[in-house]
Amino acid sequence: MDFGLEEHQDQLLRTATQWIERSWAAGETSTPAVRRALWGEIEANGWAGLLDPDDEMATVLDAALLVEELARGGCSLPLVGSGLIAPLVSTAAGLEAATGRGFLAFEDGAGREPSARGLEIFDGVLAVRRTVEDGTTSWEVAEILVDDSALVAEQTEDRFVLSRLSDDAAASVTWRAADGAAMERIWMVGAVLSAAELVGLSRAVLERCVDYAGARVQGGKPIGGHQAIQHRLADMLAGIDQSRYATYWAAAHPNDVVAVHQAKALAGRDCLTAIRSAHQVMGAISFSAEDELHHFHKQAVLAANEFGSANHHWTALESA
Amino acid sequence: MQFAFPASAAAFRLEVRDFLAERPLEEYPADATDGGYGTGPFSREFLRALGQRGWIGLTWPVEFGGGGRPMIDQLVMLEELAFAGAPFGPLVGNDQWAQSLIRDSNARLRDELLPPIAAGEATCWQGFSEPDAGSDLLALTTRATRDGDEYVINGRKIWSSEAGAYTHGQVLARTESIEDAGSRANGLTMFVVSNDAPGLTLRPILAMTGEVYHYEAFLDDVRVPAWNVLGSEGEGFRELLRGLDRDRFWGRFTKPANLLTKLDSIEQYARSNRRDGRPIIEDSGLARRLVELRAEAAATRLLFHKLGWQLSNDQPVPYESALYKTMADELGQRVANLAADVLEQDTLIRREPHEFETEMHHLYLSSPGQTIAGGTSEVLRSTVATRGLGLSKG
Repeated sequence: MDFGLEEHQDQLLRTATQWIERSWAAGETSTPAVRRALWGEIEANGWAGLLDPDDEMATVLDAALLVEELARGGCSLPLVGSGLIAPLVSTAAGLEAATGRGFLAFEDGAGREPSARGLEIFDGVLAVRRTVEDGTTSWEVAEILVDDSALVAEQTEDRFVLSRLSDDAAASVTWRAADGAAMERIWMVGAVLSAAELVGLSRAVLERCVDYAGARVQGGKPIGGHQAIQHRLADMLAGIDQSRYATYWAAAHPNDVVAVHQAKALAGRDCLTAIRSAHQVMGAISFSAEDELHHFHKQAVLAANEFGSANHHWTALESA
Repeated sequence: MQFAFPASAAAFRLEVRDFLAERPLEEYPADATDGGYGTGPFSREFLRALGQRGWIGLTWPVEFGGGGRPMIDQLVMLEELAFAGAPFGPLVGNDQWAQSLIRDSNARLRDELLPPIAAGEATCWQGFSEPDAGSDLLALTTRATRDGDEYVINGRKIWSSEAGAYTHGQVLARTESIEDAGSRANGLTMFVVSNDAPGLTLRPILAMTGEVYHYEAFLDDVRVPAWNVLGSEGEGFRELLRGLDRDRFWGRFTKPANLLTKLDSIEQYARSNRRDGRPIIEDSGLARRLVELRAEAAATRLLFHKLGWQLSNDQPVPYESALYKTMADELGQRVANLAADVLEQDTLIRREPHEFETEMHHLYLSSPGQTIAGGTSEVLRSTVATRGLGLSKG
């Protein structure tokens, strides 16, 4: 076993870190126009479409490392769905593989209108509809060209917009059946990558907490000197390390469904727990919009529920 | 990152499985109880069988009578022993003892002890803690005074695992006063003490399992030859600290594998036994607890492999051994709690050895000690925060 990064992985992460510093963290990311331009850079870097549909399992670990690093840098662009999974889905549905599409996935009949992040920065949306009946899942895919009237913004944050298709746009969709076995495999890859996003987000949050706990002085000493804070941070690290390496293992074995379910279930539970815990460490500023923590927290809620929530994956393990 | 085991280690894994299949494990008599660390009880006969294969000294350098094999082979062997529930009790602690003899001791002590260790005849307990020196080990008061070619040791040690069943102890004693040494961390020396040394008395401590695992050691004018010093005189504490990360790693490496087999046993029991008119596995929340614990055990196993890789590559491990030890032990307690919830009051009944109920009885009643022995979870969390995350000491 070798837990070190391979040379090309090291290079990939260094490029990602440099891009975060130069492009993402350097400026304002709150307008769709800016995010659209930044997405262009993601594509130019070759990160969207990193998973070759003809050899989809070859680089899942590379993709997971990249997703983790970008999330750790605060990038909220929908790389997993729109950049990495959408091309695989297009191929499975017999469509021409293309990046630069919003990615909207939902379970039909779940009783809520489907929404996704990042739809506002793309010209088209690839929609995936799952239908679960009597324990059998069927998959359908639709391509939707969008203009301003096709999308309804549900929630607007500095770093992402959570939006859904308008009823008119949804009504005009033509669905086509997709290869179920291929879609199941792709969904497992999506689960691993969203776990990696959670790992990156929670690592970023832990780093912020450590900085805060070392700098914030109360009662004459940094709060990080108190065991109550120290032990909470140690517990955050435990959950993150556990999820992180379970995710790497699953990314290296994306056809091992138990490993993938375990990774996403652990990340969905423990990374989110770590981020919730961060609010307690950082005190009142943490629940204000003046600190960045809420961005990480909200993005983690999205990542935790994309490609299956922790509850979904634990349930799958129970019947495995 | 490459998660596959090397072909040679995968082949060795099969060799270990063949060895385990040769003789039912129940046939190896237990010479002392199971500490609950995932290594099973101490069976000298089992250790001898490993020794005959050359597997006790598997990774020692060839010039010291070892097999010269890579660390991954040892990890693979330990996992197989743990998966099988083999009685290899002192194997990992003993190997640490042997490694420190190879690294730090004089030729005379090495020549005297390495052959019987490799054969499974010599086994070693640790005499570090004292009644008033637990988490604050530097408060120890045991003293050793040079007298010609010997040292004379006086003091009292406690919580020494299996001391009455093993052949030697490693005893940490003060050889220079704190005033002369300049600090509490200086002036301590590690000695090897034979169990038959006059003046050494071992008092068994009855555990809540009803068995004896720990001992209290009284040292009254115990004389040891001067060459029985492990490492350098006065440097005992620093050497102990240097070995701590490895101790914590080796002491818990087998635990996740062992817990995975325990979870399989618990699931099997819950599926084949009924309560309130239905299989126990259908109890609300039970299946969820099983899959959560299994996922954590699998992830913790991976973390220990990662730590093993870090140690074998001489990488710094500022927090990993402290954190992963804590995770493994707390996970073990939660597995034990699950067993107790499944067994209900039968948890307290000890039946025949090797029966599921007896195994779970022992797992549950030994579990409170797991997060205390080898560093309490509280001390270790503080270690993670200060050494790993860089926070200041409180």
